[in-house]
Amino acid sequence: MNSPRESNQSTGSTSHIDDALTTLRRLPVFKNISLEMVKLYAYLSHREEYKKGDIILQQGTPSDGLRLIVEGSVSITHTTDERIILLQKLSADSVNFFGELALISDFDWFFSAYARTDVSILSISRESFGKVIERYPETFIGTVGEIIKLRIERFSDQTDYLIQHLTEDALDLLSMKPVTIKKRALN
Amino acid sequence: MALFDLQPDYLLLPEGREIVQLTGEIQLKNVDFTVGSGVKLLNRINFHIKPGEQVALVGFSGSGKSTLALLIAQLYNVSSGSILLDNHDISTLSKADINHGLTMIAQHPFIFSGTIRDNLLYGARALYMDSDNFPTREKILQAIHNVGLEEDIMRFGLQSTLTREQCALFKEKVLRMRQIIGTELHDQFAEEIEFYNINDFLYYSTIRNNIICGDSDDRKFTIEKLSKSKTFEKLIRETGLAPLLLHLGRSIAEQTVELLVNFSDDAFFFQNTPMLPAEFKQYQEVTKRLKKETDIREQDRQMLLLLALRYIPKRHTIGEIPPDLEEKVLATRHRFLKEIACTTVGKKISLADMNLANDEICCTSEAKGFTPFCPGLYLSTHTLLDNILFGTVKSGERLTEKLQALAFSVFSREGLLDEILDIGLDFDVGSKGDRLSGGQQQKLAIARAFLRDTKILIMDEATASLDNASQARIQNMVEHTFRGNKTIISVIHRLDLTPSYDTIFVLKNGSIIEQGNYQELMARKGAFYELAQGK
Repeated sequence: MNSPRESNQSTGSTSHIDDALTTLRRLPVFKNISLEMVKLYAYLSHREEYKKGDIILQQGTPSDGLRLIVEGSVSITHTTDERIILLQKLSADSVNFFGELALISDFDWFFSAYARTDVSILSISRESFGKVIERYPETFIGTVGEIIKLRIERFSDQTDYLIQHLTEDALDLLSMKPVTIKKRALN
Repeated sequence: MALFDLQPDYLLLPEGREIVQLTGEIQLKNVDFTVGSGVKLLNRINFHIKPGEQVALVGFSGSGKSTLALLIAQLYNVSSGSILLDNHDISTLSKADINHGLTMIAQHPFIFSGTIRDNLLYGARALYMDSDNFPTREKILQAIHNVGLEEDIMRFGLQSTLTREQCALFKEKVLRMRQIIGTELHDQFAEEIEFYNINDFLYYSTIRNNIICGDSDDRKFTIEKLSKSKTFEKLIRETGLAPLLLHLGRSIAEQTVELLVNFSDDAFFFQNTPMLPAEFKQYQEVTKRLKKETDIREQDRQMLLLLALRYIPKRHTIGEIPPDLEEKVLATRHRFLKEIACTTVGKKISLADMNLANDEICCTSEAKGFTPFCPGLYLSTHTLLDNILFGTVKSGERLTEKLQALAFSVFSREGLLDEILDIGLDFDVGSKGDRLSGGQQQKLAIARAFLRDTKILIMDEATASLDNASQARIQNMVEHTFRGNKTIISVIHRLDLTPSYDTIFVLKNGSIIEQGNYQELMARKGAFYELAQGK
């Protein structure tokens, strides 16, 4: 009797779990855990399709889970004083995802995500993540550690991006501030 | 058995006299209340409330506000002193006297298992049994409106399946709304709804719905019946669909059993598979047999077919979809409709005033009692909402607000809002109301109390669990509609709700330490002022 994977190749069938598994395995959070566990996440994940210009998630609404970009590209923006500021462009070319903190904590989104092109996304809800991790408590600390690392990487990527795109005014401010501080220190 | 032989404190009915008709006057004279352990909860309470007066009881938690309310409602008995209702000592009044003169809304109201209507009328039944004063439909709907429960009830109505008589009343309007959504508002709804279409594969519907594309009044094409039907087996064999469904069903069974072997105790994990938690063990046996035996047993084949027919392509994440499944399903659908359901598909307009788009299809079925998914036909086995949408909601709750606004405007315009609400009133609230939110339960309890038109209304933090808008709406009722014709005693935490009350009693450690209206108490800069500032 053929295993599902073999029969899959011979008949050309499509399987959500197999597809999702390939995508999830690319993410560091799911690299060092058992195949059984990643398969469960793959099974509990959902595929979402968005058209160019659609809002994928909106700042200020309750967060619900992680999203991985399978196809297309996404803008991460922050709205402040009615101005929309672009923080990051993410595309499926490399391993890209957002909303990772929502897996471990309940908060309102502090950014929005828009589809720059038609986008296909794989999402895992906080509830699903919690239900699975409940059964493998020993993996909890390691997974949270990975999520925090991802968050730090993103934080520094976004900061770099912002600095590169700062206006002349802001750059002036930036070069002045250390000088003022220096003077004070000297005094 | 001696436990049950206790004499109740109060008679159910008065002896040797008529039931007292209270006017709403309340006097407390030196009222003390001490609990078993000797702790004094209320200490020498004196006050006089005139008929129609509105009184607020405020104070710190544990100051005795709720206890005082319960004593006036005859739910506790004073330890010393007396409570007079219209000069009748409360200890001499029967339960029937109290029932006719006084209504209380508790902080955590009790909701009975049954329908919304049962719950709304529970208090009124006790009061107006066999009387002309029994609430009419208008009165009930007014009460629902007054507490802000209208939209919720309408939603319940939309989720109901109509009876034959109701169908006759609604059919045309529903089809009209369906048409509005399908044409004028098509683009607004298309993202969220997958509309039924006789020529398209439906990714958000079961394979069963994809093939049958309709319903029979005698329910002979249910998934369970189809999986055992010889006629159906012959049909899918002839169209070449049978092996594909078997492959799909088998992959679902095998993957689910493998994946959930340690998780079958939690229904949460079954949300993405067509297998039910209760069937897990059975399918474990089936997959074991499939591994060992070369021929599939008839019973196992039926069980695999069952999973395949339940499968919803965009919702279930398990199983393998054979490449030509969609094409074969559509071919089978068309043969089924033509040969078994005897449906004629054509471009015909069935409703006279419908301005259907050119590609709109209309079909009729000659098979008795079979209704295909057709834009011009009401599906009597589906909910009102399904019939309006004529399709499947792709994901969750995002849709409801938009649809609700539309339904509200169309039904009010057509004068059918009351009918929908009436259907919603028959919504089953579940065991002790567990299908209602906390806010809904509270609103229901308030409406129930409003339907009992008694002279005294006691509200014990009755609006505490409501949102601000609902709270304001009910406060407004109390302030204006009830002014002058009901005595109100309201236990309140939120002091910003107190300015409209005639008298505010401030309680601390079981005693009244201040009394007066809002302006007087604020000007005095005493305990009430401090409470108000502390907020």
